[in-house]
Amino acid sequence: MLFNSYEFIFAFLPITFYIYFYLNSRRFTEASKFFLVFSSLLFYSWWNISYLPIILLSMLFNYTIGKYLNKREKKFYTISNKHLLTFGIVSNITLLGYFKYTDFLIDNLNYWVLTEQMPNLNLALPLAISFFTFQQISYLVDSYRQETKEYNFLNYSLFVTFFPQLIAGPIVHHKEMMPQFSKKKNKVKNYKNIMIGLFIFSIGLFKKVVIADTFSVWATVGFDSATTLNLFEAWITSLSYTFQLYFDFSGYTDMAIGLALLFNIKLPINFNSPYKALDIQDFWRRWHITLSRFLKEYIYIPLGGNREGEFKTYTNLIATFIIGGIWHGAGWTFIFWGFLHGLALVIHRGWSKIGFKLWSLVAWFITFNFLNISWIFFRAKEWNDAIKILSSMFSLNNIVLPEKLESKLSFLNSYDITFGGWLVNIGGSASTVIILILTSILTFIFQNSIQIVKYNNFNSNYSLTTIQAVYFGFLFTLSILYIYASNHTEFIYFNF
Amino acid sequence: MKNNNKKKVITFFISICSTLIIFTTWLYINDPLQIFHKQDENKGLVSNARHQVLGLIDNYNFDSIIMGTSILENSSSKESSKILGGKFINLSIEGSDFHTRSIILEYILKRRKLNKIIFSLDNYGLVEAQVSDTSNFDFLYDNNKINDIKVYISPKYLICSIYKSYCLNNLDIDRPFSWYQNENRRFGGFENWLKSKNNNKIKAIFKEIIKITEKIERGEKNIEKEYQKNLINSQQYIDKNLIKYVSKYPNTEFISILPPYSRIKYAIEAQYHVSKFKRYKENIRYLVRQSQKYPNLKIYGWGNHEFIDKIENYQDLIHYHYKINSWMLKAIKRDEGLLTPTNIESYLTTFTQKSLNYDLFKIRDKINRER
Repeated sequence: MLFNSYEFIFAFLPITFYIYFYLNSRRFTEASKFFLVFSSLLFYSWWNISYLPIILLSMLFNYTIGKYLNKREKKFYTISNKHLLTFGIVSNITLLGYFKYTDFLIDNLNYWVLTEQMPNLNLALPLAISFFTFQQISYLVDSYRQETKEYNFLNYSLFVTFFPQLIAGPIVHHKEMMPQFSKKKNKVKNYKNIMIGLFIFSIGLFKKVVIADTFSVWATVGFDSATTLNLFEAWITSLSYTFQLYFDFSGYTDMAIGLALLFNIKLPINFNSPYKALDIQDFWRRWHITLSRFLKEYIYIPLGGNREGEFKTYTNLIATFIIGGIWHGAGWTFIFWGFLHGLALVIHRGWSKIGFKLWSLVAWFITFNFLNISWIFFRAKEWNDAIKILSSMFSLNNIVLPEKLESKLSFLNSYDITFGGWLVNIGGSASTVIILILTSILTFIFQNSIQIVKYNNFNSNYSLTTIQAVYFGFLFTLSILYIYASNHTEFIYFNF
Repeated sequence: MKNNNKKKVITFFISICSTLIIFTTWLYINDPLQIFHKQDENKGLVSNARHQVLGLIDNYNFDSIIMGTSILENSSSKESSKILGGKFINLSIEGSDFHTRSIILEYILKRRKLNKIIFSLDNYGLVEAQVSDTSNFDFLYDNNKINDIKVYISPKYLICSIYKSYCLNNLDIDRPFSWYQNENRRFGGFENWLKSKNNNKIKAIFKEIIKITEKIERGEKNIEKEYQKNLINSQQYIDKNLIKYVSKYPNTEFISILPPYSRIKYAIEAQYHVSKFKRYKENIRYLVRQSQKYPNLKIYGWGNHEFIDKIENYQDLIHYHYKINSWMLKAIKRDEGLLTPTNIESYLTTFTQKSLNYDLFKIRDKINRER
């Protein structure tokens, strides 16, 4: 079930909301938790029920390991906690690796090593496996550090399966979720949270169905179908994907945050206007914040972080981001994307040490263009697709201008500039450029959804204005109409 | 504060309901495509034919239609009515294959009695059996008026509902989707193609001619491995998207024309794409046989005429001057080019000979000299 589907918005959500608070109002708190877990698993199984045993077994396994890790004095037979933690992490990574990376490994073995080809397993990737695996690894580590206090499987199941963040995050810590679920105050309907939750959800829905899905048309054609692209088509393709990805994923996160707030749960923010970043480090403080936090706390710091000299810091940075790349997908393009970001962070670190500062606008321009170019590797299915886009973006031999300008700018013929369908290969038109400009203004200049509703610092006296209520209602309606007009599409991060 | 927040939540839901009502009413009233009601003719039409044709069918008076592609978009309805009789409207849709047009034919024929349909037998239908994605417009031509509002939920029509001239153009109902006014530069001869060598259509054509002639020089031919299967598929496609209506509506005359593409185009097909060329001819034979079975089906072809040898009549390999649209109507009237079992073989022989004998290398050399 997708957040941007009618069955979710008009059936699943209102029914779950009503029954959850009804059970709580009758003081059936355990039953309400059970119901929320049941609903979340139903939500999860809606795609494919065959994934259900995987998530259930994974939860049971991690809960058991975590339970032993949490009790310092009690060992699992004679195994030390450190070994138990290692066993837990390796098991999780093996499960993830089996489903996500086996075919990638086979392909590479076939290419580099084997003389006789090994067939692919063609395993379907269980939905959300990357997210629930990382979340549970963090739970194991936190349990090992004695930072979790949970012994009840029902509560643990709620922590893993809570439907707003189950499929694509934010990746949450056990310690930031469980106290919220057990707070008595949170078991009662809270109109302030409902109001803000609905508003953030509306913004997220609008971002996804109106903005991201509009850009996805040009990005998909440009990357996957078009055989050749001219200079403008290539730039519009790459920018379309850059905006599609941001609005798709931040739209999803806004919806997740809004939905959780309806249940009085405050999820951590995941985006903070990342395309306004002035350097790559700044970007990673603003983009997929909970993944950055995970990579920092559970990979970069355990690798040694910046504590073991400059060279080790640099290799740690690159290694962390290569792992980040692999986490996103099994492919060399993802690995290269991770490497590029690691390298950019190294360069930025070295640059910062010199103490030279760029003018903000130049810094932003360089950062945004680096991101735009690196997303090409993130999106491309094959190297050749990435090369196709990149070579066209930087080739002056393939400039096409609108046919209408041919009579006025005929002198450009001598510079080998062509006139004709200038966006025809990506199915674009003048509207594409207008939408791109408007979206750029929205992204680079305006406040983001979290800032608009003051999510990080709303207190008991905080309220939104009536005009905002009307405005968000408008966004919601427009989004609903867009869903009606087009086939609703999955979120990009569901593939990871 | 609690009540205040509750009021905001209620306001949010009221906003949703009122926006929905205002929005749909607004779109219903604006209705640039004339789906729900006829608008003042002076307001103009939308140039996206796949969307606009519905409004033309529902709101305009006609008893005959021109249902082709870009090669019939320049045909005048008034002239057609004058020459062939009846009251024509031109509903030609650029790049429409037979499948696309069958969706619209189905819709019209269920609602109106048509006397004549001029139907173009373009290659991507006749030879390629192309089935395009129709999901962005086919819902307009079902029996459900309510879902038609979907078409307006797009940036283009939302902007248009506020700023009309964003999508409404001053199009002539006589040939609403015609293009003859815009692109005259390349007619008049090969030198005009050369002058436009930086136009990407011309660039692509030149590239194709050079590529194909190189292959021909090397003795290569494009031969399909699954020719027979493709032939059967294409004939089933013709049956499903054209003959079905011919048989179901015997009182409607289907004037089906083989577009007079330029000789260069046919030469490329005959000399290199040999399987496609063979299938093209087989399907013409097939249609002619069908025309014996269904007297309301007439097939016209002018591939043996000299005017298709002359580049000055073409702005690219397939698009001819609008004067030829006019000439074709007169030819149809006098049954010139009508293909029957008695003349089909001689027609195809002449057509094939001319296409095989055409000197593509001469054209290639001219291109190379100018590049």
